[in-house]
Amino acid sequence: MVFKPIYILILAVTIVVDYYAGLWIEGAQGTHRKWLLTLSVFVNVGFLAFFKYWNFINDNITHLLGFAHVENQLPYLEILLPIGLSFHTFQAMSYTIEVYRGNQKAEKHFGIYALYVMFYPQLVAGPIERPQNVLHQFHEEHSFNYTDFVEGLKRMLWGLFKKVVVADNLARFVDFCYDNPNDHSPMSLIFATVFFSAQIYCDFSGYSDIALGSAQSMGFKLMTNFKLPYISQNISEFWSRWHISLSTWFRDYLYIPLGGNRVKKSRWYMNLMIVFLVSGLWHGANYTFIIWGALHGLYLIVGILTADFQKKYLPRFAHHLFTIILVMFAWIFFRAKSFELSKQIITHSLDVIHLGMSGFTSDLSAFGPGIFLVLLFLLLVFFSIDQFVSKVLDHERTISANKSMILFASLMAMLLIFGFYGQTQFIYFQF
Amino acid sequence: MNKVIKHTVKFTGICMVVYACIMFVLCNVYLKDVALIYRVMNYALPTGKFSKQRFDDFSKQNKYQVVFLGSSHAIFHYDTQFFEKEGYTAYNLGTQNQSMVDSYLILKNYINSKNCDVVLMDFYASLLTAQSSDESSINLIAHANKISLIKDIIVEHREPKFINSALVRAFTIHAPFNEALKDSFGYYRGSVFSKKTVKGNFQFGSSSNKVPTVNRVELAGLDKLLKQAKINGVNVALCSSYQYSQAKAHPYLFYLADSVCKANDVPFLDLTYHNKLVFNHDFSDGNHLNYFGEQQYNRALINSLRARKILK
Repeated sequence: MVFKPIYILILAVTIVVDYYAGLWIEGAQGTHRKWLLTLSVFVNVGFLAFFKYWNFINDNITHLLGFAHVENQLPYLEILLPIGLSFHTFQAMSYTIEVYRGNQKAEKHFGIYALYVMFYPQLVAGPIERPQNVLHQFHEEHSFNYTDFVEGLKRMLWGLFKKVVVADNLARFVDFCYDNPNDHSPMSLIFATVFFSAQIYCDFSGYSDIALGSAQSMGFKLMTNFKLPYISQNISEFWSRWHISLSTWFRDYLYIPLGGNRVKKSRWYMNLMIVFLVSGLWHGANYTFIIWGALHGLYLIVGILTADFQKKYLPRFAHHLFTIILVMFAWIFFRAKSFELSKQIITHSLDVIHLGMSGFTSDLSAFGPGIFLVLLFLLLVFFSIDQFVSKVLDHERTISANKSMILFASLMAMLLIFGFYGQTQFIYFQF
Repeated sequence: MNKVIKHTVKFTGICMVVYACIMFVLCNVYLKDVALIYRVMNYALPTGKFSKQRFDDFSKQNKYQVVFLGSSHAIFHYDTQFFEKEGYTAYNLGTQNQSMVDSYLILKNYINSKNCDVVLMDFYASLLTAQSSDESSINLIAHANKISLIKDIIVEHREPKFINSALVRAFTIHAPFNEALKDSFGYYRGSVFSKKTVKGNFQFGSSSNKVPTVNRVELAGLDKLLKQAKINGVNVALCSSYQYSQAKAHPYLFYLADSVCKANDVPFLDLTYHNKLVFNHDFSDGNHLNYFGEQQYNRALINSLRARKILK
């Protein structure tokens, strides 16, 4: 990660543009409103397109022109992706869209609008907030509230536990296998895929918990971003539990404007596919992310087409199992650095002839069998307490103050002992 | 306010009890003769080679004219026997993967004008690019015989894993250590000698012209070390021992080390590539000199130290 002071200008320009766009949209009539909204969206998407997709688009142009034996004259730019760009541009866009729709009054106070975009707990990796949820909170007076403060700290600790104890430790085995998939046995790759599914959940939901907790300790309430996604019974439910702030963003600002499900069936399927392709592209300028998005779009369409069959013939546990297998399969594309690598991982994982234990045991002895067992143990501990702790934090389940203190003090002790204190960062910081 | 203090104390207390219980179990339950803690990630068994013996032996003699600091480069490249033959009492306080921050802490806790005249700090370029000093610090915590050094490591690095390492040591008395290096034939006052030579071709990574990312903490560690030597009343010099010419390091790293030395008015004896060593004769591996190479280096080093009047 590099700090480039000049990149603050991006934030400054989007804030100024969207602040005035909001004010002018509110005061304008007729087509002017649409033009102002288009300008605001153009500036936000323009920054995103330039910093995130310039080289990706350029590469594709080079390939396409290559077929016609024409040289691409566009320069390849050495640009770094500003941290959190995808998040704060989406948050800024939701403001101008809501003002345009008349759901939100334009913010008159420049400082408060700037705070809405730059509120530090969620600036770099979400949740992508809506103006209706947070802007009014910035106008309210906040005094120190001990209960909120402690609840916030508990949530932060839980987030830190997920990140440092579970995600970062699992990452060691995932990196070990995924960096050179051909050198590892099919069983190791399958375990690595399972571990990555847990890693990305703990990494991202851990960040969200830290963001929510730090906001809560200051008296602010941010939207919930994760609701135990791996207990979902189908892909549609998965997306109502995973990265909720992004999936609802796409629902409100892309899926519904496209017509949602109130159109012809073929158009409905296309709408779903468009949303998930864009969602994939939002995550990164790489075909692996587009495939990941396309797979989820496809899962949803097939899910709709086979809904009756599933209800009739599949038992409840099979719904869970299929959902989690499909999600894990898609994660392979999300994690692999290139399409070629993801292909290698899949073909090698499905190499049933070599699925035996010999290659797996030699992988384990290279990685450390004890460490692998501890990873499995941590994973089991985590998934057995995840639901319980999440419900305690969301006040869906009450426990006595003493029990709560023992629970969180024990998590703290485990964090100190089992935490991985290396140089790692949150996966979603790259988006 | 009382409520906050009461809850904080209670939370910390419970946390410490749970922490100590888990640690106690992990350190005292053995699996195949190795404490469970070493089967858990982040707690690699510190072999330490001669680290414990090195610290124990250091206090047996009152004063050395020369003390060496550094990592395995220092252990293998600075020959205490050679220096004694030349008339200087010498001791090698090099330890496994010793980082410059840890060298500074060793100097702070062990070396002063009463037990040493000159400290020779070994330098090589990758010391400034290493992104982690965990192996060094964990090894020192496991083997050092002064609690003050362990405390300083924890305070300097401010990371929970070093508190854990200290507690592991407390619960396991001290970590086991190897009797001798398998490929070495001798140990004398901290120095280790190897006759093993590199067999066959050794592939060096292609050297890049790109300016490497510098670990500023380590660079600051060097600065602290040079300043601490003055506070402790000992002379200090930075030495870069013989490297194989194909293992080229980026000149910028030497420039940085030299700048820190100049700012502290400390000599930097850069002998890195001033040699005509034969790789398959004078090196024990890609990074370390063997006995034959080390003899040539120590001759050149003593000449250089005398020429610059660092040693009389």
